[in-house]
Amino acid sequence: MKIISDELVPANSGWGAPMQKGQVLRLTAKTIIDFACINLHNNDERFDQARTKVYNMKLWITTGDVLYSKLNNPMMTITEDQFAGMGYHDLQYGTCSGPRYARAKEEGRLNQYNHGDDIAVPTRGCWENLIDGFSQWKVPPEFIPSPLNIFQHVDIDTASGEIKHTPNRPKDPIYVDFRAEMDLAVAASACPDLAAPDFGQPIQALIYEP
Amino acid sequence: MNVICEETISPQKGWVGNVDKGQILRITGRSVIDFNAFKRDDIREYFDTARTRIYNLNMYPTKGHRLFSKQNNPMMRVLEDGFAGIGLHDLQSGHGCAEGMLSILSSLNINYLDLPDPMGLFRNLDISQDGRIRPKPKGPPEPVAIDLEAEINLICAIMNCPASETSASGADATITILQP
Repeated sequence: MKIISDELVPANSGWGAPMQKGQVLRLTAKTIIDFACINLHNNDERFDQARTKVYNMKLWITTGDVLYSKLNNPMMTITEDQFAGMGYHDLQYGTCSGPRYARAKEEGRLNQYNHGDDIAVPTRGCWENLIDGFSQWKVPPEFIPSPLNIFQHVDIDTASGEIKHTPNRPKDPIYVDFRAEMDLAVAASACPDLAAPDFGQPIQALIYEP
Repeated sequence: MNVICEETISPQKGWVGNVDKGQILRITGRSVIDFNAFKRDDIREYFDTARTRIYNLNMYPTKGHRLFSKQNNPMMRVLEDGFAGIGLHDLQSGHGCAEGMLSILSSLNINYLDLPDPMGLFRNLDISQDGRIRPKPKGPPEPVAIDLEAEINLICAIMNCPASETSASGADATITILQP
């Protein structure tokens, strides 16, 4: 394969890049990556959680499944998912953010992340990181898409609807491959991941031509 | 409680209007109704399905839950839910009738790509424990009401969707604004 770019993204920061149709993005990590994409030629056409769930007819997506835009166009296909069998990627969460963590602290809900109440509260999170990742394309903050939350395994009771954070993450860094089905701008956030055993870690973003 | 306004909305029609902080918006119906809300002072802050799910840590909005904005602020509180025990409101699907919602929101100048996902009232999806999503064509047999208390001054929008495979056949809906 021909490597187009290969970058290490520090913990709790954002990354973004353009991609051509047919290229593959490999995201590698052992903690949560918030991921979104937009059409490179029409930046208002964005990844859409709802369309992705409804067109795949399921809450969790993996190898062979497609990420859709609000216009119902295929944006990316998952061609390899090393998390399969270990856990599910999430399509329920929005992004974490400085304001969200501040509210969790104010309401005494930090213990929901499984590290007790007495943890350092990040002043920024995936929302700010994705704004940075898309900075070249100037996506307005209110239109940062609710992402695909890679390696964010969440317990969901589909009868009651109850959602629980879990510390279930890859033990060592593993990857997911996404093939671009159109020319894209992609952005990823190395989530501060308060629910992970060792909190958020750096991630690797590799773009290659297969 | 004083009734500030009451309107009947036939299928494929909608309603958009102000709901002030402290007022209660009662939505009564028995087929799918798409619901959106915007902060009146700044419509860039709007009701967000993902923020709402995660604040409540639940996929299905019901009594006791709060509706949250994309900026992670509270917008409304669910005071009563007459659909509880009959079915589940939906925060997964996106719009059932986006064109209608866009037309009633025309004064806000929102284009389709920026239209926020709605709460799908009375949209009773069947989600199995392995995550498969199927339509479940079962609304309430008789109209039931959900009461939403505004926590800030809002513009609310309601679209009474036409019949579809996911809903009971289109039926009249009613909106009532109550001042406690």
